Amino acid sequence: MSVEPPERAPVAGWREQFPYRLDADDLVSRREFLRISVVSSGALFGGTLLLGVLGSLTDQRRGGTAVEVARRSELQPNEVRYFNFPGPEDHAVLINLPDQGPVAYSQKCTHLSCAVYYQTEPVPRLFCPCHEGVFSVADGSPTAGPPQRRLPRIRLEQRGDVLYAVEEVP
Amino acid sequence: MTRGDRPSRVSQRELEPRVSPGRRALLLAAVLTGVLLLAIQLWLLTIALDLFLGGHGGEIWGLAAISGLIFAGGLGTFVLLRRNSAPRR
Repeated sequence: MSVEPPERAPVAGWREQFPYRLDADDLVSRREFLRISVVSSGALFGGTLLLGVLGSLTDQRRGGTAVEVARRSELQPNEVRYFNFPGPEDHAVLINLPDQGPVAYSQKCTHLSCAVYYQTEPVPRLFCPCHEGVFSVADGSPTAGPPQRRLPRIRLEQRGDVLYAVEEVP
Repeated sequence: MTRGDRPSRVSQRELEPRVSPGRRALLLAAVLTGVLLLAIQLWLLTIALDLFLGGHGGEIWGLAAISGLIFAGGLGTFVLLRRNSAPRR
């Protein structure tokens, strides 16, 4: 013997899908709202403070063994060399700018970590093909597209005629 | 509320204590200011995260100080209101 479900009054479609009434909901008192706001404010402050502590504790300069990149006398103006620094999996690019000399940057785009490439056309620039981010070759700062932070610069040191990558500076 | 419950026909006006129109505007302004300050704190947190990811972690302290001031202000207001509304002997 089966039990028939009780008949229900027909209701509007949306009421069936969303059976809640605003006027029957619990009201939050002003004092409760203030308490929630203060707790949220504390959480946001805590997050900011944590980032400050982490930022101060971690040394964000990355170095290690100096890596030979190129011979200065062999570099032509606008010549590009790709190399790995500071780790064997970290890609970097060296550009010999005609007016500024050799500069080097990490190839990791600061947007979503795609590799950036040097382009001379339409203007000399570092270009990220993933989302068309553009960086200045002079200082690695973002000039177009989604990236908001500059490319980490790689400090070069010349010993004799040889250029070495010695440190990655964010 | 469970499905099928009938809501009680009590309006919001009846649930709230009687507040004069001038005081209501003042309270609304206070609530909106609080929401604005929370939004500013959230914005500061996003800037802090951006600085951290960009390797400029040392510059976050100023943002943390501003965020802390806002938090302290909110906490002070909360404590003050609790103290003022406590039953007097």
